Amino acid sequence: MNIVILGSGRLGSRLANALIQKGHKIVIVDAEETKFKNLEEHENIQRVSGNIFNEETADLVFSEKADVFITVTGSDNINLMVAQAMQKKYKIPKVLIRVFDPTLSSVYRDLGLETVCPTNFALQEMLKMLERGA
Amino acid sequence: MYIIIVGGGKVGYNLAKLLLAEGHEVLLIEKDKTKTPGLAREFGESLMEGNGSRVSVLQEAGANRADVLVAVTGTDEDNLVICQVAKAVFKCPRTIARVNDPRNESLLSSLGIDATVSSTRLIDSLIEEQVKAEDMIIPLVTLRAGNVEIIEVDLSRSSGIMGKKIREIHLPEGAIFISIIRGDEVVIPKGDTELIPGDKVVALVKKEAEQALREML
Repeated sequence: MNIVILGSGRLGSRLANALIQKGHKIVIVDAEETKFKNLEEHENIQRVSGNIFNEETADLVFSEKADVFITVTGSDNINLMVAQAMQKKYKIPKVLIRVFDPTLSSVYRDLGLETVCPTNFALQEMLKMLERGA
Repeated sequence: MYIIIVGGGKVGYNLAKLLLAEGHEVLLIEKDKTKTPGLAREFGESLMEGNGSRVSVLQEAGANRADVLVAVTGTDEDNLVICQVAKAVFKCPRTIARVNDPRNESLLSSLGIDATVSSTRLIDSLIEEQVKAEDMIIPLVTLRAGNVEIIEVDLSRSSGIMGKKIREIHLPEGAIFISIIRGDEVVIPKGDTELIPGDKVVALVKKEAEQALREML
């Protein structure tokens, strides 16, 4: 699959590295070039440094039809806006959005978007660990 | 009406003042703790400190009974999320978002925001009017390049241009009138528009020409 990732931080870069192992083609975008330092050197990872709100940057990023778009910048609101904008403009079949705020995450799930909330995952995981220990 | 305004910058501040003066119930929400003490002195109970894109903050603000929610922060993604949350969670009948980057305008309208206001777009269209009126060509791009600003000046009675028609006024290089505020009316200046006492002029001016323009007015 062609997968576009916005944000090359801890999660974004690990996702990219893991997804190329599974044979996918990745385009990863970040405003800061230094954020690419943890990415593996691989022919299937294309790095784009720039602002995705720029039309030229977005057109470049989505020049090949994307099957999946994942937004994992540090800002919930940026992730939510970019995801909706690009989904509309480039008709991307699957969009995954990281949202730290659990309430906001469930609000957008109800609106039909696929959000992922790390806080909720940590919560569930810790509850499970405690149950196992109890 | 009960109106919630998120964002206590220049736009939010002035909007809140205006709406309170018109007798509406207003709540201004600002997250920046360095700004809230000053705003609280002005607005008292009508000011709330908090991040308006949090559901809990909007809940506390009583968003479920708001007739209108206006998001006028300086960031478009915040304005979008605030309005979407107000609609989805609190069933707010009317949401209005300020668009800082005009490229985001169509997106925000297409994502369920009832109305968008883009000051850049507003000014562009005012200038286009002027261009049509006077058959001049103005490079609109310079506006985005940042070396220009928009100023508003109350014309003094003794001003040298009082009583003159626009076409008789020799503005400094790099300055242009984009509108005249006359009472409650906005007048788009044409060559034969005459300046009268009480007028406020709104001008687009290059930084280097501002001093010369202010002296002239």
